Amino acid sequence: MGAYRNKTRYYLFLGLFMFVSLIFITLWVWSHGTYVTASTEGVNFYPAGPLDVVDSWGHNWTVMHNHTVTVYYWFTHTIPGVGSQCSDLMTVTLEGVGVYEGVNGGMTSFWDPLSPGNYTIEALTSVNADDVSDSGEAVISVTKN
Amino acid sequence: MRRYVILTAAFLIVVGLNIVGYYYVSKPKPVQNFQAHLDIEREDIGLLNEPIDDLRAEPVQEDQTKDQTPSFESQVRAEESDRMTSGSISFHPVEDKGISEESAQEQAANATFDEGESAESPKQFVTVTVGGRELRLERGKKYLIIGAKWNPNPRPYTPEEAKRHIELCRKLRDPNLSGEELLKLREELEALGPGLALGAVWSTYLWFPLPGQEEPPDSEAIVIDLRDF
Repeated sequence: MGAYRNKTRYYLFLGLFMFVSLIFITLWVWSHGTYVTASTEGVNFYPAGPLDVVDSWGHNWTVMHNHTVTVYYWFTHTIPGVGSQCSDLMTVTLEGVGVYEGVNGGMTSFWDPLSPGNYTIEALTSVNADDVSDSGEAVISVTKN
Repeated sequence: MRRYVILTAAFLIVVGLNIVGYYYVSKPKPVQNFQAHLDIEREDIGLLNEPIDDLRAEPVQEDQTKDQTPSFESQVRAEESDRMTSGSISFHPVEDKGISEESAQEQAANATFDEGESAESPKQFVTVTVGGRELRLERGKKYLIIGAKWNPNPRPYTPEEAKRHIELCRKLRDPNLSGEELLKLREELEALGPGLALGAVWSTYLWFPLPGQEEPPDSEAIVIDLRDF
């Protein structure tokens, strides 16, 4: 009788263990089923009359998702130590399973004229979904006379 | 007996990992204040009534023969408008303009229509939020969304701010940032101020394909103009 009970308890534990493990694996796969990539094709800097202008193009991002995800993305221009300009935060909820691409974004920012010197100009595309993120950047170095 | 101890320990570990896993997938996403209602006007691009007069930049205008010198913003706007080839829709927050009784009734009617529509085909539309404004985009159509932001108080960074800014820019390029960290960095950059940046105009294409649909050309995109000037 005791051996029977022990055996029953053993299989009960084993079954419970497997069941919980399955739930965990499912949750793990679900939470890791989101992949994001972002890129920026190019950035340019030029003085335009009383202003300086930074122009970037090819802001692209991709999200692969196997469940409904909320995607946050935005563009940024930065000149380290001088200033930065972010676009508005853009948010979209993608349902179910799939791959979504945001392509061909562009941004033009306007700056008070920079003092003569060397500068690094960066343009970034940033994307975030399910706490997974990526930033793709284009960088140029410019000398302003 | 040892077998039970091992199994129990394994069970507790799995339960613990489950809790961690559940926390990971269900933790709250950053909350945005995105509930602004929209007054949708189907008209071509036009300047808003409120001028932005605190930009430091002088108007970029060389032609002195015109009666009125366009503002810097309108110059930028006109330049960007040249790129648009299809009909545009301007979106302005309701609270900026006030709501008349008739427009409120009209909105109520639209809301009823939307509810009915979404009840019939809930996946026909995708809601996109851009800087606090909700847009309902139809699947299968391509959209070009244009936005702008102007900084009221551009100023050079202090040495300490410049140092912090360089550090933040370096962090921004870190490929191992989590989504939450990336959003926090963005917030910190915004809090630090724009430095010498006066503002920007940006555009993005959005297209939510129907099954088997080929991507429409960019020239067919419906322009949604969110620039508030």
